[in-house]
Amino acid sequence: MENLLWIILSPLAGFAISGLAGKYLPKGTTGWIASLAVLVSFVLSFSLFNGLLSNPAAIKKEYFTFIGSGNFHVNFALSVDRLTAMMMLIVTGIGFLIHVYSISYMHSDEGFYKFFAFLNLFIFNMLILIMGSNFLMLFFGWEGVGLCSYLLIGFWYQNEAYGKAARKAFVMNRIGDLGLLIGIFLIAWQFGSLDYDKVLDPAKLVAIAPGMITAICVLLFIGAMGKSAQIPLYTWLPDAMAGPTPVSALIHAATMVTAGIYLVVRTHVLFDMSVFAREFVLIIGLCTSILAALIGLKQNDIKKVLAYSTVSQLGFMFIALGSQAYVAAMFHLTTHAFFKALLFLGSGSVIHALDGEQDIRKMGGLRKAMPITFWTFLLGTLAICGFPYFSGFFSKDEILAEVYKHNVVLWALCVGSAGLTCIYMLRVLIVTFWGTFRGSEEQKHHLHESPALITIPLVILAVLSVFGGILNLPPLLSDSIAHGMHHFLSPALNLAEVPEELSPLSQLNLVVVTVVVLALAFWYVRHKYIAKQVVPETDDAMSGMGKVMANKFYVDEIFDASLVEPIEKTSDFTYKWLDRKWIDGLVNSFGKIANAMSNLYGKMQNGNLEYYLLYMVAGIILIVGYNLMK
Amino acid sequence: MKSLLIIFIGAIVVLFTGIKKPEKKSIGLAIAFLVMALALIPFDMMGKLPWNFEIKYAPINMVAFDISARAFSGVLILGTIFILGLFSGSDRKGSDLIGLVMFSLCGAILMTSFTNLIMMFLGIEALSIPLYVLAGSKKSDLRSNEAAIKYFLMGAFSTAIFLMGCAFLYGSSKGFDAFSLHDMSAFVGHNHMSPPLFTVGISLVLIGLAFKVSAFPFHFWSPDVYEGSPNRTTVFMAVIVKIAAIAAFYRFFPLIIGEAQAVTWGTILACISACTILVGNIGALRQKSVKRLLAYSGIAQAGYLLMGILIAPEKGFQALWIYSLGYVSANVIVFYLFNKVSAGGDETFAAFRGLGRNNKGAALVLCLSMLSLAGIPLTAGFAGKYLLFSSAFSDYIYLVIIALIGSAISIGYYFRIFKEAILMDGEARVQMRIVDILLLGLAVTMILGVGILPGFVIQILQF
Repeated sequence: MENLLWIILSPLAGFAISGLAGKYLPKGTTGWIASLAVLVSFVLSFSLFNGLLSNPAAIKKEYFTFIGSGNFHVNFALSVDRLTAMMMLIVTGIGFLIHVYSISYMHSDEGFYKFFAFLNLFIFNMLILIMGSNFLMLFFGWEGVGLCSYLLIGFWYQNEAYGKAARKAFVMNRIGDLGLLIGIFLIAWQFGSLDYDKVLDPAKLVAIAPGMITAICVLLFIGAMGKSAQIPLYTWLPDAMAGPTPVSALIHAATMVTAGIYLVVRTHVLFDMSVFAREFVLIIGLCTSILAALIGLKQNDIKKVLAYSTVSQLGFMFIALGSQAYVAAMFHLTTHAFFKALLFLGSGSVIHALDGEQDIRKMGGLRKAMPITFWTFLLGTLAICGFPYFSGFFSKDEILAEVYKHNVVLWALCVGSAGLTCIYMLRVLIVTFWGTFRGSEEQKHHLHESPALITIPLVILAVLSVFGGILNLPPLLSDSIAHGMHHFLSPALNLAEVPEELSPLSQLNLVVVTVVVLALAFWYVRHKYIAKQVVPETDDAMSGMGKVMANKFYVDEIFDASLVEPIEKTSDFTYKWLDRKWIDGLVNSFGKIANAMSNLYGKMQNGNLEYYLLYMVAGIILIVGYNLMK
Repeated sequence: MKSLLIIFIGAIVVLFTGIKKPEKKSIGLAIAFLVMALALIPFDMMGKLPWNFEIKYAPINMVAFDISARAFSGVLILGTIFILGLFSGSDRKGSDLIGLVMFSLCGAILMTSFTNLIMMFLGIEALSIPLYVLAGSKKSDLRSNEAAIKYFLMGAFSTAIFLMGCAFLYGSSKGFDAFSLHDMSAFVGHNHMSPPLFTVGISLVLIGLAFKVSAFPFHFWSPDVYEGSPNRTTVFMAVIVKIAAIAAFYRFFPLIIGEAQAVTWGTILACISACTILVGNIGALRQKSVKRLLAYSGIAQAGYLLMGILIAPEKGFQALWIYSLGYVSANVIVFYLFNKVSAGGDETFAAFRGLGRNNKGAALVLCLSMLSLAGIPLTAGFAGKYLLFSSAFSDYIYLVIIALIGSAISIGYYFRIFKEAILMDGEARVQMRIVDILLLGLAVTMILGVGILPGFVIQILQF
């Protein structure tokens, strides 16, 4: 199947063309070329997916050896099973929509061609990440998407704050990457191979010490923490909103940030062996989910709210992973990719119409002016809130049911977190689209619905967000097409054909509880923001808990005081005392010695032939004498 | 043999056509002959490999164009093409000088292919005598005259020593040919004897060769002679003489000393090599004149090259060949650019100032050749050093450590040149002809090609 290679080569070629020749091509062309490159990947992925529907056997292809040393070989090899195929559809499908959207969104930007080159490079790396058949390929893609994320967050690099946000994202990710890298080293050491086939073989795992497996799992999860923005490495994601909005939609909502989820699902065999690692994942996921939701309640930047929402939803997915509900996690990953991409693109459409305004306090009443954006945003919000029969309803409820099986207290906390999600999302929706317009007169004058290239992707994503739940319906609703995704993924994940179920009655109970919580949230928001027409207060007027939440619980400041400053002080000390005085001094003294010797030698080389001959004769006597004496 | 003849005929033709034609034309003619000689190398007479010494080898032929002879002659001819192409018009006008260069090259080729001490001696003399003249070819320049006299005096001295060694060896084994000498050496080695005539003979021959490669303590001539000679002659000495002498040195070991006594003489050679590396690098550190600096750099490089003789012949051959490719191309580039920028008379580092601003391409090429000389990865210099050091590591660990220290010191002075070229402001400017650009391009390709794909380049030797 040479298709495998074409799937990754197509965006790479797109990157090369837009990166090298983009400057000289007419502006729109680059965007279309880049979109076409992703479309090719999508079509090929789709045919691959179709093949896998009938035959679940993974498709593998080896190309060349990356590293070969003794018995240890790492190949450049691709492997596509059903899990990969699903990820590929998400990455290339949503990727394509966002490419098309960007053609209009970025049309007046100077770096138009650069933007598309980076986007294509990102798609390439993301595909390598998910299609690779060993941990090195994964790491290659992992670093590649990190690089693209850095480049795109700092895309408007003339703004210093954006550059700093890009740097922060990069550094935070590097911390996680270090964990991942050490995990990979441990795997190579323990298993003597990096191939998924050899490492993730349950028969082999028995021989490895349980402590070692736990260590590997925790280290891999630290990598996932960085990429998927979990406590304590999540602070980069909200700052990453400095990038253009399509980037936030593609990289920081739908695809790259889910790489951590993919990593855990891919290596779930290891996590199955370690209770500690799973509990660790669960607790971190839960804390992140609640913390981010609380922060999200008080943010006034439309993209920041969505960013914290993403962090919170990713936490949800990790909760599912911690309770061994891998399919539920993948299901939520999929629906989340739909509705979060939709919400980001919708917010982009709003920002575009308001000429760059991101503060919801200066919006309001956009319902009339931007009907398509409004309706799609509304559907996206209902989906993420888990409004019954929308896609988020099914995926979130499945996670909640799995957590309920695991532990009731945790379940209650999760329901609370879902309620918070509902509140902050409805708050954004209402403050932005209801009420009266609060921006400047000039903005009001220009207010318009976005062009078709922007609204068409919105509509497609809205349809997916509404009906995405069909992918994995609970049997309560329909027996015949229930658990679609579970059946699809079970061969790739080695799961039982039919998942373990709660009794119908308790399932119903759970749903009722969730719906009641959601209804309460609806009522609260309606009461506060529609009935009373409350607009969020200005920064100065905040006080108490609200201020703490608006300031993101001061996590950045805590990191600064507890980590950054001590490190800087130590660095200063080692620089001035250890490095300048001692190490430099020592190194310089070597140089001085060499120079002094050179001066000394210069006296021998005095240009006088008699001396030279004398040295020669001395040499001859020495050599001949030594040989004769011996 | 064919290429040797072509060069010889070419030298005579150039000498005579030069009477009527201007120098430029005779250079073109000379290069045409050299290219022909280069093309003929693969078809040259086959011979046994010097490390597969067999009885049939020696007594009949006094030269053998085996694989090592052909490989090294290839480098030498290529080097001469570079020199003639890039340095035309730098010396006194006159095709006689070009003829001399080609005669000298004939000697160099004999040094790579001898199987008999007589041929080796003839090669050395054929190489050296034209050089004595070339060193003094700037008749009106006092320094050129001084260089010629110094070179001649010291050379005569070393020739005498070399001949004395040959005489002793003849006295001990009744022959000049590799066959009887190798036999003798094996006999001496197996019986743990130390016959004075033989031992002294080998010592003196080695000293004669050490003089030619400018190894410690027989290197004192080289900075003075390099500095005084005209640029084309200097680069010829730095490149062709050095590589030819190393090739002869290398050949001498498996062919005449043989395995039986390789370790005995290897120890002495290792000491010489270590001292040469240290003296060359330390001496270079304080130099202000570029030519003197390159002379010391050449001494240090000779030290590294000697390591190739210590290791197993086949590996040593590959390493030396790779190293010499990098050495030739890097030195040719540096000397060429120096020749251009020092046209105003300033022969110190300062001559390079401003090159980075005025000629980006030239500065880039200069940096690349410096990186190669210093042995930075992805250049031919690194590939060569890596092969030498890694092969010598198991038996001569101390030598490798000293060599590494030497390489570290060398970065100090190599990088100083390109610091001057890139960071300092000045008037350095290089006007290149198309031919120059082509030849420099070839040299750069060699540095990068060998540096990036050394395995592939070694494969060429299999043909």
